[in-house]
Amino acid sequence: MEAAVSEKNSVSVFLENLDVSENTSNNSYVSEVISEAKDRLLNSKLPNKKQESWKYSKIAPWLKKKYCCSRSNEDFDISAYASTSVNANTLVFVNGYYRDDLSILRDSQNGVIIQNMTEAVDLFKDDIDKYYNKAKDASFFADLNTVYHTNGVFIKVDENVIAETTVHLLHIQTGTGTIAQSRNLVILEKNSKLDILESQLELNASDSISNHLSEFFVNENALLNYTLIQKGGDNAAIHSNYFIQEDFSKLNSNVFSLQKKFIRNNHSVRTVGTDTETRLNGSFMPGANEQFDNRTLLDHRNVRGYSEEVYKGILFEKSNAVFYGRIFVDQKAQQTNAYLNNSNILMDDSARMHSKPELEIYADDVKCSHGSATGDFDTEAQFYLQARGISLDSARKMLIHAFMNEVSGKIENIEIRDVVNSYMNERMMKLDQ
Amino acid sequence: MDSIIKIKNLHAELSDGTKILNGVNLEVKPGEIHAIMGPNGSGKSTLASVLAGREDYIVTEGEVEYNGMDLLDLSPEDRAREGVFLAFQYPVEIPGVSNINFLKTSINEIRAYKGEGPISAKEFLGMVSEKSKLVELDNKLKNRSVNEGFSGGEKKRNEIFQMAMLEPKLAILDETDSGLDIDALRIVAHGVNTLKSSENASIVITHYQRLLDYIVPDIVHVLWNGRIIKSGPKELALELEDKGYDWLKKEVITE
Ligand SMILES: Nc1ncnc2c1ncn2[C@@H]1O[C@H](COP(=O)(O)OP(=O)(O)O)[C@@H](O)[C@H]1O
Ligand SMILES: [Mg+2]
Repeated sequence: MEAAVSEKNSVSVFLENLDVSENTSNNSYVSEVISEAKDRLLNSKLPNKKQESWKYSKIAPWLKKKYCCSRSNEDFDISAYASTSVNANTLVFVNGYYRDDLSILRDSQNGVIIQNMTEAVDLFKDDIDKYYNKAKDASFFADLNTVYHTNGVFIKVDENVIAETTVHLLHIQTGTGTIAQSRNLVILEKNSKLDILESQLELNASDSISNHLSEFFVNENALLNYTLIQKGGDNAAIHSNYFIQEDFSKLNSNVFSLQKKFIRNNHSVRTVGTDTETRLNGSFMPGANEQFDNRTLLDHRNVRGYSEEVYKGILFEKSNAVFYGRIFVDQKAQQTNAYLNNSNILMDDSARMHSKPELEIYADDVKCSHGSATGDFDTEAQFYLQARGISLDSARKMLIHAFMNEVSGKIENIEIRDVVNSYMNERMMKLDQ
Repeated sequence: MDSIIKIKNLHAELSDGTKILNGVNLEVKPGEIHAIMGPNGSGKSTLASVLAGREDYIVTEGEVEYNGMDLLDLSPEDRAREGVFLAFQYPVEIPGVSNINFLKTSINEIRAYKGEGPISAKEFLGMVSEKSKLVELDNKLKNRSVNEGFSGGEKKRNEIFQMAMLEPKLAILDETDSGLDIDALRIVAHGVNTLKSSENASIVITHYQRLLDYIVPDIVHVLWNGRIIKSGPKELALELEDKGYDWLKKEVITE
């Protein structure tokens, strides 16, 4: 009993140390969502390693710090960020605040709505009431985001509209001890298509944390291509995506965790419709004293769903990574086809990988497979390349690339693929020094 | 005449102290083809690997002079850049690296080492088409990942194709013939014979005599227990085919 009290206190302490104001809303539904989340938060425990979902990732030190939400008016040259080379409507968030002055809205298109979330709550009340908070779960960080997020973006692609321009969410974090929490809602109506690039980059931030959360609704026969790039300095990122798929919809999600002190991705897909196609892919490359944790859930709820999940990791010296991939097949989800694979290369004995693919199947007519393999770097292949005159350094790079390209190669948009590859190169160059 | 390679009293062992090479002596001169035969486990591949610079083996004694250089002092890539080529007994599969990109990188790194600029696309493609014809390498294999999903014979042909592209000074072929049918054997041998010149040399490791019907060696050596226990003219190969290796082993033991 006493332990419970002290755990509960730890949440209050964390919230007291959080110099961020609580959200309020004049939309009664949203306001109710916020107060429910607040109640849950106060009755919850801080994530800790006694919980199964936080067993291997050391979040505790990040929850002992004080954070403030600092609005910055600094002027940045956003073209310095490679991801802005992608032809896109780029929405810039600095420490979780939308920066109109930095954002570049290149092309506007009928039927493609891109709106500041704060305004969208009023302007798109019906959509908010229908979709807001309907995909997310009730975990600590999700609730924290609900109560304390700053703003975010509301995106809606109307029925039968193919969005011609990629939407790029560019998150930049600056300052010491800052927290950035955006809250986004993306709706693809029937037969629509959208490409989203989200890049999480940093500018001189330290001891900072982010906790971005997005909900995605992919309605009938719609297609969403989503790419996430995570790269930055000595900071922590909690990143949550919740996708809901309706009949015949398609989702391709590609996640690249390249650099940060701490990353925890909670990415989940629930296929409520029939005949869905889902591809979840990820690459992670933690370096020294970095810890990357990818947690995915593929929740098959209806018939004839197809899913393919490939996560690949390269772990450098003294790094730590976790992959937890769960596939759930409801008893109603007959003829589900689900495939999950996680493979990892340890570049050094000091690297630690925890991999746990998990199948939970309640339907009898399904085809599911899962696998996980973690091994050392292939020195045979390295020697083979060297024996053909290729330097040790290039040989290692070629092999790492070859391993990782399987994932980046799945990005259909060539510009985005090139940007991802260049970020991966840059990452490797730093690590090889 | 100067030798291309001169191996003197070469001893090598594994990191756990297991001795594999116990004093190999061998000298190969330009224009020569030497065959190394010997039963399984006698150290043939180890010798090839040590010459190519594989780090699993520790050289404890002896020296290797290559083209006037101390070969053992060079990194594996520098040995290759100086013209040493090893056709692997078990070519490695490298998923995700295309055969053609691999070769281009290889050629350009070798050229850079010699202070030359990168090869032009035209010259490179010309070479690829010429050399792949030589070993009758299936066109579609060139764009596939290195050796991935290749049959045993295709892997061996790919080794000779690479050799043809790199034009080495010293080629070491480690059982390139094993697992090949007679047609493939002829093609591989044709590749080797075409590349032969008065400037370069080959060491052909095999444990069948039949390859030597097609690649005619100047000298045949028998390696056993990490040492060359007999050397002789090409007829020695035939004798070994007839009598096996046991008579030689006995000779060594009674010595
Ligand atoms: N990397 C290695 N690890 C363990 N044993 C090895 C290794 N390389 C060679 N050996 C051993 O050394 C001996 C010679 O091997 P090898 O050179 O492959 O012979 P050959 O090519 O003549 O058949 C064998 O007993 C083999 O098992
Ligand atoms: Mg061998």
